[in-house]
Amino acid sequence: MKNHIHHELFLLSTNLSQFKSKTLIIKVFVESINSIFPGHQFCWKKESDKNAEENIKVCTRSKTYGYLSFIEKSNLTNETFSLLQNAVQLLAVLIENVEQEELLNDQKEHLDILVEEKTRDLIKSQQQVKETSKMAKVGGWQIDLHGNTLSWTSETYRIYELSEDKIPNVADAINYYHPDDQEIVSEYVRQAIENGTSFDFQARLISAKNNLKWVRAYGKVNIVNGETTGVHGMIQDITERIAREKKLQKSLHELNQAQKVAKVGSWF
Amino acid sequence: MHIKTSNQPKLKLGIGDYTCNWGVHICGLYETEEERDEIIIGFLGEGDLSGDLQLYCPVEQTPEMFKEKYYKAFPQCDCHADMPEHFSISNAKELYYPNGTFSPIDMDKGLNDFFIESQKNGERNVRGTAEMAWALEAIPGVEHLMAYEARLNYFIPGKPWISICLYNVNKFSGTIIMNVLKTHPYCISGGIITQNPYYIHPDKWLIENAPQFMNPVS
Repeated sequence: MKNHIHHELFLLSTNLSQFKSKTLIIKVFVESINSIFPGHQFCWKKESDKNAEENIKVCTRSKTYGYLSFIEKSNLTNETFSLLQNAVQLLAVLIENVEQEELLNDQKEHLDILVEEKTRDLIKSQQQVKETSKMAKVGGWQIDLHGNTLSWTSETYRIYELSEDKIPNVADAINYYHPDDQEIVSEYVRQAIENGTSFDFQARLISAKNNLKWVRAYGKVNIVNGETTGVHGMIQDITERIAREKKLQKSLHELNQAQKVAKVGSWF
Repeated sequence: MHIKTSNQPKLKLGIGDYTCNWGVHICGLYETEEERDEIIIGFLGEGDLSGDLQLYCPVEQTPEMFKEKYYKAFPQCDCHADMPEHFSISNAKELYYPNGTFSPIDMDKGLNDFFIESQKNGERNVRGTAEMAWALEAIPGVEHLMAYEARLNYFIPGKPWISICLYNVNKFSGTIIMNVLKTHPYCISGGIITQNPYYIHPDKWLIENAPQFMNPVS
C-alpha cells in the first residue's frame, strides 16, 4: 500500500511539473490526492479552515500559498500522513517554480520592450545626426592606431566623392588634398599622433571626381591610460562659404575702386 | 519546436514556434483573457495565412470583440472572419445544442457533415477552436460533454483537422478539469504544449465513464 501511494505521488509530481499554471496545478493536485487517499474530502483553502480536521500549510521558506484541508485524519497512518506532507511540500515548490517563471517572463517582456524603445530612439537619433551632417556637409573620421585603420562616415565619403565600399587609408586621404596643401596636412596629422596635438585647419581637397573643394578639418587624439590610441575628428565642406566670402571680398574691392574713381565716401 | 502528434503532414500551430501534425485534439487550459486570446488569435491567424478553413465558437467574447483583435494582429486577413471561405464562426447554441439539448451523437453527425462539406472542392485543412465556458450553463445534456470530447479522439485522427478546446481553469471545477485532461491527448498550459500524461484512450475512458457512447463514429 505504501509503495503504491509512493508511486502515485511520484507520478503526480512528474505530471504536475509540466503544467505552467498555478490554478491548474492546484486543481489537478487536489483531485489526484482525493483519488489516491479516498474518503478524506481534500480541498484547497486560502486560509486555514477551522471546520477541517487537519490543515496542511502549502508553503516554501518565503511564501505561504494556501492550505490543504481535509477530514478523517485518524484513517491515515503516520507513514501515509508523512507521504502526504511530502507531496504538499512538492506542490509548494511547483507553485513557486511557476511563479518564478511568470516573474522571469514578465521581466523578459519588460526588458524586450525597453530594448525595443531604446533601439528605436537610437535609430531615430542616428538618422537625425545623419540628416544634420548632410545638411551641414560635416563628416566624421577616425584613425585607429592599433589596427592602423581609418574609418569614415557616409558624409565624409560624400565630401571625397568616393563610394562607400572603398576602404580608405591615411596616406590616400592626405593624397586627395591639393598638392600645395599636402605637406601641411601631413604635418598636422603627424603632430597629433606623436605629440597629441589637436588641429583645426582649412585646406583645398581634390575629390575623386576631380572637383576642387575647400574643407575645414578638425582633429583630436584619443588617449587611453596615457597612451595615444587614435585620432578622431570632423571634416566640413566649406567650398560654398569660401566662394561667398571671395565674392563678398570682390564686391567690396569693386565698391572700393568705384568710390576711389568717383571720389565719394560712404557712412553707416 | 516540433511535437510529433501523428504521421500526418506538419502544420505551424501559430502558438510560439510550435509545429505538430494534423489529426490532433488539444485542450487549451488558460487563466486569463490574454492567455486565451494568444491561443485563439495565433492559431486561427496562422491557419488563415496558410489557407486553412477556420471554425471558431466564441463564448466569453462576442464575435465583434474577436474580430477587432484578430484584424489588429493580422491586418492582411482583413474581413476574412466574415467570409465563409475562410471562417465559420458559430455561437455555442448553433454549434453545440441547436435543438436545445447537447448530444454527443448529434455532434458527431454535425461535425462529420461539416467536414464532408469542407472537402467537397478537394482536401482542405480545418482548424477548430471553441471556448467551452458555455458548458457551465445548465444546458440539457451537458453532462455528456466529456463523452463528446472522448469521441473526438475517434473523429479527428487521420483527418486534416486540428481542434483546440479552450477551458478556463478558474471557471471549471477540478473534477471537470481532470476529465478534460483525460480526454485530450495534448495540452496547452502557460503557452507550453505537451503530451498530456493524464490522457486515457477513448475506448477505456468511455467504457468506464459513458459506456452508452462507446461506438466509434464511422
